[in-house]
Amino acid sequence: MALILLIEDEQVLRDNLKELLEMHGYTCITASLGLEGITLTKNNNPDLVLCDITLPDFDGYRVKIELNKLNYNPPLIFLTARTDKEDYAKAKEVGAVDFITKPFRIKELINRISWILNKKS
Amino acid sequence: MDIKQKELDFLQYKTLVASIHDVVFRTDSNGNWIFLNDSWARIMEFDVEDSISKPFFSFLHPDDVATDAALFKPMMAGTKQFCSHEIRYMTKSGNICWMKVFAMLVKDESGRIIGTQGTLQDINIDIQNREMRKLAEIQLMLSIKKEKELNLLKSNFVSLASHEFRTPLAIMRSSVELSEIYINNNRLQEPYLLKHILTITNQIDQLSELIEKVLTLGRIDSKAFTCKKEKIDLIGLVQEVIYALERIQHDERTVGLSVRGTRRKVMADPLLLAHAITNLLSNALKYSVNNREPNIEIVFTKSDYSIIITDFGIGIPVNAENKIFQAFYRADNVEAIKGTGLGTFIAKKFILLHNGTVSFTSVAKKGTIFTIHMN
Repeated sequence: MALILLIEDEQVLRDNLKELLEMHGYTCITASLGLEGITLTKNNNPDLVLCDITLPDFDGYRVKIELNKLNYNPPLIFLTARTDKEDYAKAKEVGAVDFITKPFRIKELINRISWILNKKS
Repeated sequence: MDIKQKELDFLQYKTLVASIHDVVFRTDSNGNWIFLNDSWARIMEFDVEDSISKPFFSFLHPDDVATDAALFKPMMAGTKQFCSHEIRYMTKSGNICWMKVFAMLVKDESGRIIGTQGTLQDINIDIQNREMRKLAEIQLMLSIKKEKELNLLKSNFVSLASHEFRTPLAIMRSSVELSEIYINNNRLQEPYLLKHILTITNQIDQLSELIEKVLTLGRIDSKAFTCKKEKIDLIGLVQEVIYALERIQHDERTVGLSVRGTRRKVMADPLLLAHAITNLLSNALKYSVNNREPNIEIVFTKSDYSIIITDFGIGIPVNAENKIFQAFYRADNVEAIKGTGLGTFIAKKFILLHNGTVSFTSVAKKGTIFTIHMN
């Protein structure tokens, strides 16, 4: 069963997504801060990371950059309310595998996750 | 050349000098006019005859005398052969007349310096055009700068609004999808179903508030608000604002209210004033979570009154002090806290409609005091 780390500061959305992911057969651990997300990645080695960009301590790009530096490279998808082209370009630049704009359908998210995980395996 | 021919040549020369549009002059070595053509009278309004023998310094703008003296002296000392500069003369009627001076040394047959000669060109129109061009350039640069700032604020707002609109929508969609799953699986008694309905209701409230603020901004821009003053119970109005905000607080914090001075009714537009106080007080609560509770003090004096809103929160950074009342502006230290950058802007607009003022003092990480003052 794949392990997914969800980094999202909005508590209700975090709880809802965790429940939805678990309903679709994934194990989900969560973090509300960027730094917490990095620690959880190091300690749990998730198969995939879902990461918000606007976080209270530092942004999602920095999370990915720090993980790259530490050589922890699980595929990372940004889940974000940002829609600027610049954000999309920056997400690509730091090495994210996907960029999903809020609000999204859970089906869409699950499809992307399973495609990325299949590709990985 | 016979005498007659010389006289003829001199007459032609005189006519030529008289017809030159610029002032043609000669001075002696002390700077006294010894010759001026008729353009002098036309431009400077002084009679040529009255001006002869008078020093040219006496016709200069008082502030330019020293400058011109500094140029004239080296010529008389023989260290400079000519000079060319722009300087202000004063006409007979007291107006400034900008002249472009071209002067060269005049020597006698033995080589002794006996004075200067040259022209004074009236360049008032040039100077005016130059000044106007400079002014227009400054105005253009200012408006470009303002436009750039506004565009930046607007683009910040679009990003911010996008985030603020999309996040509640994402929460609502995830709650709706979970609810659908519960219903499809016949889990209608699921307590989480109720939780999701509440979540959706809260998010709708948040979105409504955001839409309300954006619409208020639009109405302010189109000057749709007018201040309809009436006699109101200010203390009662502030109590209602406090009560409304306390009800929607996630923590248990309350807001203290104190009153100084003799209580009385005041003239104000209750809707606009309540809106302004709500915006400032909700900021006081929002930016001081986990700190001491904010408080409001109403101060009545004989002729005026103040509403002082004090919080003990994160404060306003020094670099944000001049921008805090701008639309869409959000300080660096509030990125993690939801907001549109419109609350203080709207509050100030509504206070200004009362001819009142709103000001603040703040210390980072200590708190902020906003003061509404009404006459």
